[in-house]
Amino acid sequence: MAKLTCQQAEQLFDAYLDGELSASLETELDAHRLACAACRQALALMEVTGHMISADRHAPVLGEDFTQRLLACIETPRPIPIWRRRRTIWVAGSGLAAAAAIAIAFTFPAAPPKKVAGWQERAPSVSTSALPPGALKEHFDGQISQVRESTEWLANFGKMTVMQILDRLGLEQPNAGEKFGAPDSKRPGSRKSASDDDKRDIEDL
Amino acid sequence: MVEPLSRGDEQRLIQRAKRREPDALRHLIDLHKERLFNFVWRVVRHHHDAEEICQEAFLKAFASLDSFRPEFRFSTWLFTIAYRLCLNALRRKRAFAGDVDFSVLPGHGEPVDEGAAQSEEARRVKTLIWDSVDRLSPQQRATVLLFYRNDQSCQEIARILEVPVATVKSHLHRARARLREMLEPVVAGETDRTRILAKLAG
Repeated sequence: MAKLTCQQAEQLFDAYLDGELSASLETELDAHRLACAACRQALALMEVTGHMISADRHAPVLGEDFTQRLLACIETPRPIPIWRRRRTIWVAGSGLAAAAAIAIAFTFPAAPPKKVAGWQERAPSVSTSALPPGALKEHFDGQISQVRESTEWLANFGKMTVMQILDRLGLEQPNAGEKFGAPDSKRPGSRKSASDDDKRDIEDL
Repeated sequence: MVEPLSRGDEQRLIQRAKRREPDALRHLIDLHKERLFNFVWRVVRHHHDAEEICQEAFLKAFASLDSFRPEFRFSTWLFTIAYRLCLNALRRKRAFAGDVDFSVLPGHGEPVDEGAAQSEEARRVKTLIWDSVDRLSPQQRATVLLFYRNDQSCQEIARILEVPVATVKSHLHRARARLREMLEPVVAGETDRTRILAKLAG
């Protein structure tokens, strides 16, 4: 093996300092630095630096009561910041959503009939004063069930995926063809199974 | 100095700490606080910040003890949390004051108990070396400190810094090159490791 050049020797410095140099290469490096003052000095400087960093024990010390203060912090936890109170926010949000749903349902008891094809028309609003007692109970049961549905819908809104929202609104459902008419597969760019593709895209996300 | 625990003892201690047994928590704190503070102080160079970071690191570690993976050492996990907090603190400082110049930070040159036995020359070299270490990037500085002061392997350092092992080796290599670049002109007169060490020993 030819003698090491300074450049080759320098490439071995890191492995030497990390104790990862093979015995044969270490011997070569030792031989080189005996003959080369520059490499000897460079390596000595790095060894001393490492030694100094590891051996120097002079550093400021922690306060004596550090452990005690820390234990006191553990025993009396700090108040949880508002942005971390997800559960609280969720519960409070659900309550507000329910209240909003009830208010909306009583303010607007029935949506105006839609003229768009495919939307199911709601039953026309009736005057409760004209109803017999049995029909009146049935009418209010219907109102209550609407309120319950709206409340659940609002409460679950945040948890729903796009597809679930579309399904809930009656859009792009698998049987959407029955409502809106079968998609025109001959039209350029039309997708025969758009909802399936959407589902796949959403799953990919 | 508190003796390090065996792997089994550490696991048992952590199980007790999960049950919030004060003795176990105290033991874990006492085991790691000095080394952690030493590391954090050397990275942020500010006594008060370093204490706060150590406290926060312990609190975070204890708060999420349930997610602690037993294949790692507790110290590795603790140092990882502390290192992240150090970087955050340095980023905040940088945001306020542009690039951080450690020579003007309040913690720089804080009085520490210099060994009375050391010669003027030894103290000069030591100050020079620490000044150079302070001028490394936070990542390089953390790598150097963990490698030399904490005797941690490149694999352990990689886990703490959350980077590949190759990156740790690169940090170490660049840090050494930079230290050499900074120190070489100053200690040009010294040509022999034995002579330098002899001086350092006083």
